Amino acid sequence: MLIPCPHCGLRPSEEFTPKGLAEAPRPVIGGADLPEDATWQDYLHTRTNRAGDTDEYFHHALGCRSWVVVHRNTLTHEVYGATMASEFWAQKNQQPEQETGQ
Amino acid sequence: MSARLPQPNRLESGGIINRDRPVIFTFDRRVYQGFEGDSLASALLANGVKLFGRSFKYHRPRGILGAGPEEPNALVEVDHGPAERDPNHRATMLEIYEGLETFSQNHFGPLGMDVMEVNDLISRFLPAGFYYKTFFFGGLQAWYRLYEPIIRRAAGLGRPPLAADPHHYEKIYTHADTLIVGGGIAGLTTALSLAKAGQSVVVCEERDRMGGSALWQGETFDGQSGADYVNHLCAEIEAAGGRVLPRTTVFGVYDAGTFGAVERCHDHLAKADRRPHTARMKYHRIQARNIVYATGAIERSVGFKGNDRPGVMLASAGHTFLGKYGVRVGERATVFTTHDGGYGTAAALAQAGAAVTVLDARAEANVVIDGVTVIKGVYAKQAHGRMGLRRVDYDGASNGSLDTDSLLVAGGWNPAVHLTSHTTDRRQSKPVYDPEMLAFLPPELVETEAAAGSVTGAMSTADCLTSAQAAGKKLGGKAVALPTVASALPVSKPMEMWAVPGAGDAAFLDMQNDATVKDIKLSAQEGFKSVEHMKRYTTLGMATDQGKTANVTGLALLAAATGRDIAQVGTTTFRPPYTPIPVGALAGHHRQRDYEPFRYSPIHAWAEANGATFMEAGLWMRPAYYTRPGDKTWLDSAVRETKATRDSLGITDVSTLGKIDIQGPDAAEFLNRLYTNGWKTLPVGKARYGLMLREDGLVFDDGTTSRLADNHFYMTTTTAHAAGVMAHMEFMHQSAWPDLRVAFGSVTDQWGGLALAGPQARACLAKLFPDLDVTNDGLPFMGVLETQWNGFTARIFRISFSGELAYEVAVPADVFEAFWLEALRVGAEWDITPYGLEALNIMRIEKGHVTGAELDGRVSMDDVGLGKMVSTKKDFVGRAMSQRAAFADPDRAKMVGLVAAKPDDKIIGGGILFASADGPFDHTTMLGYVTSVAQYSPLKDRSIALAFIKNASDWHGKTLYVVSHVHGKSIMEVHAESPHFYDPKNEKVMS
Amino acid sequence: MSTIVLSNPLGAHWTAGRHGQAEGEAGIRATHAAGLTIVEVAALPGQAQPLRAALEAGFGMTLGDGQPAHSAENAVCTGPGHYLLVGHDVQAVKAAVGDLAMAVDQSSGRVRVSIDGPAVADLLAKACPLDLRAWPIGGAQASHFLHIACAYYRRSEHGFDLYFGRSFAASAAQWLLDAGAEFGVEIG
Repeated sequence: MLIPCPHCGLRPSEEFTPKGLAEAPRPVIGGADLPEDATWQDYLHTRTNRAGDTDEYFHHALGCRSWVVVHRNTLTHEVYGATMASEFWAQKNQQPEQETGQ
Repeated sequence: MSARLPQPNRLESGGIINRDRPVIFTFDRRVYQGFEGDSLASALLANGVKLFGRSFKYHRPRGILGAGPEEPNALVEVDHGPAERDPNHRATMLEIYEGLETFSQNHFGPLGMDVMEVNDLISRFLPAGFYYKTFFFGGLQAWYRLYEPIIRRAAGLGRPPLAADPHHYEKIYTHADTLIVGGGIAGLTTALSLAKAGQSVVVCEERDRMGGSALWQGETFDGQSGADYVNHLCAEIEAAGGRVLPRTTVFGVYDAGTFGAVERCHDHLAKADRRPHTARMKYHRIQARNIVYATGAIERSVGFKGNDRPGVMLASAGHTFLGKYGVRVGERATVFTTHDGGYGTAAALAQAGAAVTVLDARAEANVVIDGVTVIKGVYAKQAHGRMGLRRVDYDGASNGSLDTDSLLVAGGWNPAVHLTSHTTDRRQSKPVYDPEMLAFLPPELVETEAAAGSVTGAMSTADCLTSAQAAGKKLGGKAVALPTVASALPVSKPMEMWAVPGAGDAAFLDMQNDATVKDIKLSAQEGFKSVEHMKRYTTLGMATDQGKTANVTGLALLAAATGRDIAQVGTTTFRPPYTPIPVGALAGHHRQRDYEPFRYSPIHAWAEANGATFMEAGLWMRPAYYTRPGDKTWLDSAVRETKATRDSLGITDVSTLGKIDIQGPDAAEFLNRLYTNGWKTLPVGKARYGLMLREDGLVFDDGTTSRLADNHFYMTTTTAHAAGVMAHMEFMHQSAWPDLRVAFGSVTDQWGGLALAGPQARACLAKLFPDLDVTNDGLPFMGVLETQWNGFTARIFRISFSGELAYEVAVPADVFEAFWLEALRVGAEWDITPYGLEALNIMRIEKGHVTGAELDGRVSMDDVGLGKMVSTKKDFVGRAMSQRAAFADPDRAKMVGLVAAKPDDKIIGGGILFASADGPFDHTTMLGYVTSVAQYSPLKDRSIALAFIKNASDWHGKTLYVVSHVHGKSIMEVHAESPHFYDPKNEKVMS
Repeated sequence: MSTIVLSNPLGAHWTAGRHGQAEGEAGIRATHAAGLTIVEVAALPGQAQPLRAALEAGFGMTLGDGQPAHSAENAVCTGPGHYLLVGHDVQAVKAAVGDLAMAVDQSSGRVRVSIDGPAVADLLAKACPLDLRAWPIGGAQASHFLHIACAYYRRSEHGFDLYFGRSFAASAAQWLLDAGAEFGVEIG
């Protein structure tokens, strides 16, 4: 699998460490912070595990050390692109209807 | 050069072997001679050897079936001593060299007289599924005691080597515009077309040399021999910047243009001829935009009784031995064919002086060859000759019997579509059945893929070349002039005959696993009608050859037995590797001492020279203890080091601790969000202990962080979690708080650090830094000073892990060894004693300090007694989840200290705690578990431990029992108390 | 203070002279720069462009444009807004970057090994996953050397600087000698 790191360009997946699906932003500071809160539950535990298009966190640990969100298809293994994690949620908020990375 | 020995089946001329270079080798301890360029198969056939091994299940005598990587039968062991014993070489792929020693496999007793051949005699009682059915009798006990040992002894192909592999292996990252798999005439032509257009190309050929069938079919190209024309093509490719790699198997196709290939660099060479410092094999991880499948086609046999007898082989194999190696496989040859192609082989053998009869399955056939008898409309019914073919019976339009010493079967061709089906990332992957061609062809390829040669179904060389031209054009290649091919090889589509009428048992499909025509029928009868079920039921295609010569025939017969079309039955899934590859090749450089890198402290060399025994801590090598005269065991050393530190002065290397430099206006806010406790009020020049949680509320890591300036902090982490903490901080900063004005970097390697601990630590520090005020007022507990040592920055932290008055001093790693030596020099006055991890462990357990053994990813802040370290005025990672009701459950196990009741008892790490010595000792009565053990505590004069137990404080002062089920069931009495055995009021560290 | 001996981060195997294949020209020439000043600089969020301008102005260097990374011989880009500044005084770097970035001394923390020679591409093919064809001279790349984190800078056709973390350097040096043995390594 090759990952198009926004900083480094196309790199082999061996340089990256996966973390899991990027399905919700971390609940903001000052928001509800009790364990039974649904936002927290979703952030921590709820994953769609969709077979198909997904957004996943990867850490370019043996590279530029950026966290990136990789947009790929888990059925076809096609990788569409990657966004810096630092920009991902802001971009997503700006375009709420549009699926990222398509 | 050694004298020429007779090779009865070797022709006087012909082939591309080097007759000037005879080669001596052995097979089953007998000495033979072949020529440079021979495979073991060709050299033994030249010497009249027919018997190569025994089959896996019935132990039937077997010869050679093929001439290349598809060979199922002739597996041999290369044995050059216990470490260089290498089983399961295909004799057809193993190149001979001077001194090569080989052995046949899979027989009990001599190859010609195998006691397990009884399996063949009772084979009608050993049908497909036999193992699954039989071993239900007698239950599990019978399986372990009776069946399993016998099967183990009888099963397995070859013997594994007995010592570590002495060879080395390498992984190579190979990049190209286009990878061409297969170096036959089609692959090379495509490669040339692409190379001339400026693409970088790599051509991988599994066999010993480029050329494929051009090396043996006897055709000419623009008047040149096949071998000469191939050399010319290779030279042109290389001149255009391309690479050709013989002996290189592309074993797998992966996503995104990644391919796996193994190049065998040494196996064809005698030891003396191997280039020094080169790897036995190179595993190429190839990254290429385009792929050309020029993988050729594999001939198939036909199912008839005795079709596995030594002397029965594929027609193309007999033709290869003749054309490539100058070996005539028989004097009285029979060719059994279902298409015109068999006549090319018949003609070649006749020309080489053999008496040849063709059995043509077709009633209508029009090829005529001088001197060759043709019997039309007949099939081979049964082959006779247990140790070597003697006779073949035929039946059909006429019947009869032929005395023959070799039977060459031309049952049609299976394009080698395997690699075209390895990935699903761009298209559907299953090969497509063509009922006209009676063959599976590659699926529709995408724009970055092309196929060339006989894998496309092309049958004549001219058609193969045309397909190569088209493949080159598709991928952007330049047109290349195709040679004029002079060929006397007739081709036609085959007649459909997968097995002859009446074929059943002893009509073999999978020769390696002994799956027969009858087994397929049985599978269908018993309801295993899916091709995947049939495969597992009959084991067809599950041997090391993965059924290259057998699978298509098997599924065609399954289709017939279940009344379906072959296309409906489909193929099983092709997976990497295409042919077996040694695991060593995949491991490459990374094994044994090179499995992972080691990380070394700047004083590693000093420690090594001063009696240190090292312990691996993650990637780090850390001194566990220093052996001194008088120390009999590691515990003697650790206790001596502990006492010296407690009584006077100890010194230890803490360079391995994770260190992170954090800068920026929001640095304190960042720490506030990472740690449970507050950081904004920490004054400059002070350190604070901090606890990090995971987002799920469990404890992640701990350490001290110091404020060096308003916007500048210096964090330390545990050695074990340094990389994890750094990645965690990067994740939180980038994914959750990208606007926080903070930047940070790992400075773990920048700083060497030592700890001075013990009552004399301050005196020693004062001597190292004479100008500094290190009094309790000048540098109080948790104070931090930045100063200079010999012109280099030094940072002094008054923190303690040992429980003693202690300081950690960091200087740049380049000068750390010098600083360490200086500390030893000035500390000599107080008998300064270096201590390792074992002594540190004793001291921190006495002090009740936690490490990774306690912070094991299952404990909350409260569990380890740090519940008060929470600032409720802010959010931080894990805050929400740390309030889970379950964490407040009084039944949760919390930390407690244990002391052995008897002075000689050693508490066992991982032991389970119980209230009663009477048992039962199981989960219904267990109260807790031991996490860290000091085998001896000087403080308590016996073994102590840290443990977790329900209602921990209730147990203080009471008796418990430790039982370890993995160390026998001895029951040890212990007394529980506070885990802070040593100086619970911190008077020493504050002194 | 001149009497302080800097300790060797490359381990006992790294000795001057010829290693591996002894015949013919050495395929690899390797040198280690001891005592080099290396400062790690990391831009605060949003300050990568101003930092680049400040470095160019402060040190009279051109950091180039485009991928893979804005770099110069003595300013090796290892990540977004992330540089190793080589051979410049620590205080001078801190002054140049001001409030735009973190600046931290890594002179002991990073080890630079420079390699050159006709077999360098073959050596890197054994250790580094990157395609040299797509790697311009003057380009930096953060990747790995046999799975040890490594920042690379390409000086010339065959010339590369490799920056390792100090604690990994002895393993990296040993593995460089192992991988280069086939070609012969001359340590200068």
